[in-house]
Amino acid sequence: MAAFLELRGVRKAFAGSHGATPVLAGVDLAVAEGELVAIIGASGSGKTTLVSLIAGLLPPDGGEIALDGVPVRAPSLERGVVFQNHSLLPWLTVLENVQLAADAARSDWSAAARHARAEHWVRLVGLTDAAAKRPAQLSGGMRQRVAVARGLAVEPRVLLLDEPFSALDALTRATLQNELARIWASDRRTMLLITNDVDEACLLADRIHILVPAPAGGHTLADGIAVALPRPRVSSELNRQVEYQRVRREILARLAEAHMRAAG
Amino acid sequence: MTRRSSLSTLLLPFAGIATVLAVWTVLSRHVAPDLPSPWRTWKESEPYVLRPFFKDGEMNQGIGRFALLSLWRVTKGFSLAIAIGTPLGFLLGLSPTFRRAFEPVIQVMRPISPLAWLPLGLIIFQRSEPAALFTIALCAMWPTVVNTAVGVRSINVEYLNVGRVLRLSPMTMLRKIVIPATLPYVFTGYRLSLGLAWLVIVASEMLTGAPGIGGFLWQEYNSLVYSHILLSIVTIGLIGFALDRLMGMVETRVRGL
Ligand SMILES: Nc1ncnc2c1ncn2[C@@H]1O[C@H](COP(=O)(O)OP(=O)(O)O)[C@@H](O)[C@H]1O
Ligand SMILES: [Mg+2]
Repeated sequence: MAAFLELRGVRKAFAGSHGATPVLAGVDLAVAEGELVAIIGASGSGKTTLVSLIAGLLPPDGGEIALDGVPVRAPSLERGVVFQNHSLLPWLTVLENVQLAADAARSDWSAAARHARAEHWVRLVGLTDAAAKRPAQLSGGMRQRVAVARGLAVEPRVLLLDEPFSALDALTRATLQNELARIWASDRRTMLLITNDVDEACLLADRIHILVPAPAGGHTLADGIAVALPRPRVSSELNRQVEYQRVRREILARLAEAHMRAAG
Repeated sequence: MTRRSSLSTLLLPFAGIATVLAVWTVLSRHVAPDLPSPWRTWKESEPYVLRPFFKDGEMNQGIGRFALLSLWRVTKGFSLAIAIGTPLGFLLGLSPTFRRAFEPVIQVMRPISPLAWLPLGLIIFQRSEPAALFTIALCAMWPTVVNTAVGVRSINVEYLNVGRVLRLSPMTMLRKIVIPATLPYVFTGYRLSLGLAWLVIVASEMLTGAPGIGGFLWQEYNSLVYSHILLSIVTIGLIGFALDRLMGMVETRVRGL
């Protein structure tokens, strides 16, 4: 059975000073509809490259990417992206940034209905009071919320989140993680969460994959680790759960092993 | 400390002006006897400055009136320059094909002096006024063209990717992303273009004899009233400075957005 989002043998190299440098060396991944899959990787391991490939912003050198059986050739509203550096347009207000996505998603709606839709997404991330502000006037956490709202406003079949909370302080990050969990629980949209934070992955994901160094250079995805923790998960209580400790230990062991192999 | 710095911001420019006046005086006394001294320049210019808006004839008007005539001509020429230069810059920045086709032509046209274009304008338009506008526009538009093109090409890829994943139509992409992202560069181009337009106006008025600050300068040279040449020069400089400041303010506002 073909998965909802499927990657098979996806390869990507970038032209460097000494020929092509492989970044992704044969990535396989299968995400079921409604699943939240996390991908953990060290910085520079090709996480953003992977997101760009799935988004259709970059063509793969080889392999196949398909969503619901349809091969990915170009960007599409079926695959939404929350970019790593929020990428909000600085000349637009919070609402206008989200409106751009709502307009794209609901081009057949009336202007008033689309406007109400954009307001809905802004409300969902708790930014109604800041709707008229520009990104430069917001805190880092608020900007990330807008970025998430814009990603959701596309109403994609799968939402790709590229380290959405990495740049935030621990407290803000925890708040936003809980909000993302709440949003995901409310409509079970398929999500691919890129992160470098093991705890974030454990808190949010159904399954966790690790980007590990491939023998011939570049990185590849290791087999997933299922996270059999009941939801809703409460970050302060996770520490006490045996399953959490097992998953965490396994991830750290695999990361350490990957690190050892890469070094020696 | 702040007192000293505010003192020097006031005093130093005066020292600079004083130096220039001193050199001017020395030159007129000992080197170039035909060059009127600052004082004589002022005395002979007084009626033109103190009654800036009188008009006794086409070529005998207050300096304010001449300046307004020139400013109006520059406004028209500059408007023409940016009306052509802005879309041209966007085309160059957006289309590699267009760029490859026209970049060489532009590079060759850019360094051509207004003195070279003006006769061509006269041949094409047969009249001096459109020829002057043609010259101003043709000389002044390049900074707008080049800055706009550079601005388009240096748009943050992240912004373009946002547009791509949202599948924005080319028009929406232009309106919501490309134009706002390029605007600061465009306005830098406008400021430089306005400066050039003001440079060119004098040359074009001198050659066409059109009434204005450049035309006045040339007429007074021919009538041997040299002090009025200096009056014109000072006026041209002051207005050019004011124009640059004005566009600088607009530019800062656009950049601050
Ligand atoms: N457009 C590009 N051109 C050349 N090299 C690139 C490009 N994008 C990424 N890379 C290289 O690919 C590697 C992986 O980058 P990236 O996917 O951004 O990693 P991550 O998101 O995991 O930090 C890095 O070594 C980076 O330098
Ligand atoms: Mg990255």
